[in-house]
Amino acid sequence: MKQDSRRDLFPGALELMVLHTLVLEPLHGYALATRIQQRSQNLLRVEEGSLYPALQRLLKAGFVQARWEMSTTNRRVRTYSLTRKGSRHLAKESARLDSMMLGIQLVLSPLPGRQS
Amino acid sequence: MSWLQGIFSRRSLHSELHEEIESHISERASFLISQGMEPQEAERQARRTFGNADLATERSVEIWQFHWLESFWADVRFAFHQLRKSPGYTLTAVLTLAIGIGANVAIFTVIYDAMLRSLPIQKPAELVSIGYRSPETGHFAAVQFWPVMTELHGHLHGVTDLAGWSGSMLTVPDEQNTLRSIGGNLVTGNALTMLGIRPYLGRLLTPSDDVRGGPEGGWPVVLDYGFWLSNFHGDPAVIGKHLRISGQPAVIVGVLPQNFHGMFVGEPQKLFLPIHFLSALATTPQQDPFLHPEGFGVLAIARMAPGTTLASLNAQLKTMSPAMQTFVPARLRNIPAWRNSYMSAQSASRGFSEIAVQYSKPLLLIQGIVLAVLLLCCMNLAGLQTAKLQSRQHEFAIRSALGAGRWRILQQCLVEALMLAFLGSIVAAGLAWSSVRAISSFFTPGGSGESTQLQPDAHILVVTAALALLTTLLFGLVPAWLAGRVAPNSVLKSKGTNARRDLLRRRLFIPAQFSLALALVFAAGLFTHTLVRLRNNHAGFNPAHVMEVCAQFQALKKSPAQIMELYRSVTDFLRASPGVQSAAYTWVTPLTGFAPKVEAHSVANPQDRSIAFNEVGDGYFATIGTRVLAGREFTQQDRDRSICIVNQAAAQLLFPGGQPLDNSLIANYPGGREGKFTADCRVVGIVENARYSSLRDPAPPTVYFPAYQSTVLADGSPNNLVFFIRSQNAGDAISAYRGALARFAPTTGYMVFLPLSDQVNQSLGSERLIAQLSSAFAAIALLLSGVGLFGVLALRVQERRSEMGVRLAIGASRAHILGLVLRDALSMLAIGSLAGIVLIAATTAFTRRFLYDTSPIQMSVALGALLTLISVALLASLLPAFRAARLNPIQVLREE
Repeated sequence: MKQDSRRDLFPGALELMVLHTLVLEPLHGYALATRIQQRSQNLLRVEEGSLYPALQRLLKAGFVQARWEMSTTNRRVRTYSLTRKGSRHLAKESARLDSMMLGIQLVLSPLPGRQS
Repeated sequence: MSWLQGIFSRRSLHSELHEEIESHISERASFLISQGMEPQEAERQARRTFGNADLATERSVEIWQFHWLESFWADVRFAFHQLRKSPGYTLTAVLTLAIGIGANVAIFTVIYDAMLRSLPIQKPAELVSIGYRSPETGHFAAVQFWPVMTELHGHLHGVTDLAGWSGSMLTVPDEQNTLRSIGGNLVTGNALTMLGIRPYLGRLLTPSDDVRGGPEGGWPVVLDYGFWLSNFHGDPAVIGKHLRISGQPAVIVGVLPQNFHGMFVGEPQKLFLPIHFLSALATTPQQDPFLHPEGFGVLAIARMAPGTTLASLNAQLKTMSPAMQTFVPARLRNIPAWRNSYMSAQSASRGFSEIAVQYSKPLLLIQGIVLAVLLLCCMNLAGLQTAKLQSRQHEFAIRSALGAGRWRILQQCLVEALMLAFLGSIVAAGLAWSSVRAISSFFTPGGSGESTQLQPDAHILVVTAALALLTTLLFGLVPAWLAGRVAPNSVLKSKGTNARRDLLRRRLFIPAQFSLALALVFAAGLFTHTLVRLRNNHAGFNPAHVMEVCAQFQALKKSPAQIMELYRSVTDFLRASPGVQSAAYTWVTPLTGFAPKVEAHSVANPQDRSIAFNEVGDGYFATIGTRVLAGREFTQQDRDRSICIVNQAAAQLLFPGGQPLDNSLIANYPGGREGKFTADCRVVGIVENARYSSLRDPAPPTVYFPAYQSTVLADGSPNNLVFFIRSQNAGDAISAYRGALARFAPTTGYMVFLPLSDQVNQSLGSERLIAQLSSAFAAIALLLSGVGLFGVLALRVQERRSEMGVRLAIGASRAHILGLVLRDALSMLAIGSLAGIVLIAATTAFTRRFLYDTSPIQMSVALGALLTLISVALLASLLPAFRAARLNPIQVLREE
């Protein structure tokens, strides 16, 4: 898979957030974008355009599936939902991410002996 | 597979994404409007937040692409376009490749057919021949004795079937109702069915066919496909037809499949009959192998049971050998070479091929030569391709500047090369198939009418494809590598040529071609020299206008004296026939490899010497064209071995310094099948030396006896003599012999009418094959290197136009310019020739084996080859040189 160097997030983070957001309910692209924006309390700057390649990657990997539907605003939209494979992947990757985050935090925590 | 669908539904993927993204943006815009923004402003804001929508679409689509395949496909289309754009170049390249690949495929097809191909039967690997192996020499004799066969039937484990194959000459009526003798296989009833073949028509032989006296209704006979086609015109109603074979009633029960011609590859047997037919052929009870099976030898073919290995079978046979020795005929047991032999099995999966034995070395030599030709083709094309790609370096530079990687350009160039190779190999396959027939005619015995049938095969196609790939790499890789190495800014800035590549062509490709061409021309010269030497070898006889036909009197129920009388009557009849100049008969046919010997001594030289002997009729030497140097020929009154004629070599050997005429020599024939004799004979004539046994060896000392009744019947088995008929017109000889048969021996046939000159040619088969094919390929090599040189020079002249224009303008003479180009050509030639001489020196040890009376560094041939090469090079450079010399300096300088 080609890595996109222009993302502000580390590779795979956006996909993970998409999967996580889809756990509750199936959503279409715009709803996904706004939901992620809200959940991150605008701390993360997600370029909306990069959401779509990420969705295609997830589709190709079989983590999500897509269906054309009518939205509440009466538009034809493509709704994405999590597959079983996707939820397994999410569980695994979240655990890995947690331990990674913990590791990074430990490394970045103030060094002992330098406490003032 | 979703990604697969992705490739093919690219367009819908695009439009869906577009729709999705547009809907996303408009939803964002509606939200912003609901927040109180101006619609136009909201639209702008929504697009800004989204980022580059096109890029997002492209990146999304890219995820589904199978990248490499797509670019490959694009390259194929582009390459096709490129090739179509320059048809001249494409045609040259495709033809060059077709010649190189085609020659290789043709030779490989012949080699494969003669030496590598398994018989077209079920599980050929299980088939073995059970014979005897000599522990001293390791030589395997594929012969088995009938009593041993019977014994093996009950006691040999691990084989599912065991069959006996024997052969005999059989007579069948030809279209003029004259009997014709043809080779037939007489086999046990299970021999054909155990092979697991399916008859083309009717049925195969069965065990119930193979009974003494034959089954009711006549002897069942299975025809070879080719024989059926040529003699029954492929008539399917032939089944059930009655036929007289060697005077016995026979009925056609089947036709063999098209690709199977018996166990003897390359010499199709035409008829297949039950082995008990041998009893019907016997003229006396002593000759009946089933009444007297001692010494009755057959070819034993067994099929190993699954799980049996050749090693385990051999171990078993070896332990059985001592017990079986009692069945081996006593006279064989006493021969030292046989004494320690033990039974052994050898794979028979490929059948028995005489071509493989005789021609394997010449064929491998030719394969080596055509591989050299292919290499030359590749170098020629590499040169062409380099020039071609050089003319496109601007394009590559632009592509490289636009971000194409080096590998991408390499890949594209290789795809072009691959396409050329592909097209070339298609033409090559056609060329190969049409020339295979001509090549295989070298192995076909003269007059047999049917040539070895070669069939296309998947193996051949694989080899063709492999060759195409190999050539692609050979001629495509270096130019492609160079093309990918362009430095875009330097090329784009200047129009200058890449000196390094030009150097590569002039210093590598062209000289390498010349060196190969020189080596090939030289080798062809040597082989032709050999052939000419052999042909012009003073043979001591004159084969022109002599027809050879073997009598088939063996089946006549007559006494030897009567048969001898028959030979004399037929000879007299032939001599009296219109158009016939002379006729005679002989026991030994020249150049067949059959050369019996006697031990002889004289009073002058009491030491026994082994010398060749033959028994001939009156007028033999006049007919075959051997001069009588002293004394006389035999006459019809000479009817025993009390007199003899010797050749010069025998005269010198047995009567050193003395007078042979009217002196006696004592010849002792130790035996063999023809029975022993001792002759005390007076020399009545001396004839010139003649190379009857082989054109390669000096004429052996030979003694000739008059043919008489013990010539035609020795040791109880009949001998046939061969008639030589000298006539200006071959047709006269044939009709004369037909007439003689009709008059004196209507129940016998003829085998084949073979001009003696054909017999001579046939005995030089491998020399002819090597000389003619190597000459043809040397000519191709010369042509290719000439064309290659021409191409390079033409290009050089084109490139140096302005330089030459300036030279002319400041006073250089036209001769100087001419010399400039010629010197260029000659320097390439010189380098190539030097390399060629090294190549020749490296291969002498190998070529030496195929030469006769020719040194592997024959100076005259070397000089000839060099001169040929120089003239080709001069011829190729004349046109470019003259073009350069005729340049108009004013016009050239104006172009600048």
